[in-house]
Amino acid sequence: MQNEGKAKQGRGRAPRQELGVMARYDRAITVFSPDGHLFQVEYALEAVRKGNAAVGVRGTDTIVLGVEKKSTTKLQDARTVWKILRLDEHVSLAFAGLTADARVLVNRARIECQSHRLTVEDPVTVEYITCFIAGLQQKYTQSGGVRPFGISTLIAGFDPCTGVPALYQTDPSGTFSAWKANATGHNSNSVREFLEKNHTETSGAETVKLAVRALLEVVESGGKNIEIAVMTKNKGLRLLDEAEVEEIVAGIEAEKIAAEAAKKGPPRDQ
Amino acid sequence: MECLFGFVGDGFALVVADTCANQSIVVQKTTEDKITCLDSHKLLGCIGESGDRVQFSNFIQKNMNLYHFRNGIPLSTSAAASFTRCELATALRKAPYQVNMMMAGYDKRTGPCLFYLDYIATLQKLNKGAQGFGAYFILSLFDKYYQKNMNVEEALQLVDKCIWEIGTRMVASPANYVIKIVDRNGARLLARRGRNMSPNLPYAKIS
Repeated sequence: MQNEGKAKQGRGRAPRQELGVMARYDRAITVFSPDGHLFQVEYALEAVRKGNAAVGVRGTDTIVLGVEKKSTTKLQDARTVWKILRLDEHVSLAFAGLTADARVLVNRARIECQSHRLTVEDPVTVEYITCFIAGLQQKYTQSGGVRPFGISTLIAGFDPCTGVPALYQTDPSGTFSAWKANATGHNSNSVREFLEKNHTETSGAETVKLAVRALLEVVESGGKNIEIAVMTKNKGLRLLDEAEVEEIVAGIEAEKIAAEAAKKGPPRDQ
Repeated sequence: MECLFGFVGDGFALVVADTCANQSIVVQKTTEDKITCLDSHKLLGCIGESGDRVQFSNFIQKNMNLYHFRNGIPLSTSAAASFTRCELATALRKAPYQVNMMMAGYDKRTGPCLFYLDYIATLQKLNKGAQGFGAYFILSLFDKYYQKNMNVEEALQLVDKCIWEIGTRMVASPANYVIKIVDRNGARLLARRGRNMSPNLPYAKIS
């Protein structure tokens, strides 16, 4: 009761006493803080914010997932680093945050996809598997002695019956929702702002271009630094190779230069 | 009486199964497909207890899919056969699956292959094999007429001989059969046969 008062007062300033109070509420995951926070979940969201940027854009017939690739590792065999993962023929996942946590979660999701096919003889809907993954993430916020998964996922796929594309996002707290376009990870706010300003109904190559443009807002320009995967109803997930990404990036750069030139052009004539 | 057999030809493997689903004296269905495509290049023909047959072959198929998604590449045919055998063996001393199987597959490096799997977890790699009561007749026909590296026409002729023999000599023989093939291009349906549809035989037909 004494502490309650202190916590409310110290929200802006965080004096030593305040930190001590907060510290007591982030040890065990199952404990709420007096002002209703689950600190472990919030710290998990911090871990996500430190992860590589990931973006997802839903078009009318295509969904594009893009992730930032840190190109500082020269000796590493890049083919063994999986950032965009297939859950099933028609559903894929990109994530931001702790890679090992993603591996475990994706493994469980893949089993669930096949289990669903076995029991009901139907592929999962995107919402079902998202709900499953989110449910799993939530479970780890309500158990003793475990920490939440430090990842936010972008789940993209097509409804197996209607063929309608869908994009969902989950986060460490276990919440999920559907999006037209979204980003997580490093600088996700900038990417999301860009998407909010520039999003229109797109299809095919236009969707890919929008996703690349969004990612280029926060990532160093170049095919080496971006990994793009395109999902279509008929062909499933296809990872674009570096040359294709370079081509798209070059196209975007050229457009930018042309736009700049167009802005500067008319005044000079006068 | 169910019937399942298969053999390896030149760059392909064939699996033939009857399509009758019976329950004691009643014929429930004559178009039951007993050969499952485990993935793009594998076939699993499965006969026996009808519940176990469907459940077990679907279970194996979904586990093959899971392996593919986890590892990015599919299992080889011999690995798939070993996995299946292990599942049978684990269940044997608890709640055995009463199914007999022939698994056929095509691997890029090793070509076509055929495996015989029994309900008591027997596993054997073979060039030709058969399950069910029909095996008593079919194996003799294989001994006399099977040759290595037959092409698809010759293979179908051998299949027709087998079907005709079962139709003639077995009591309560199945009315219809399905023939599936797996080769470089994948696993697919090749043909269907009825009991008395056996053209090109050197001996007299009995209608």
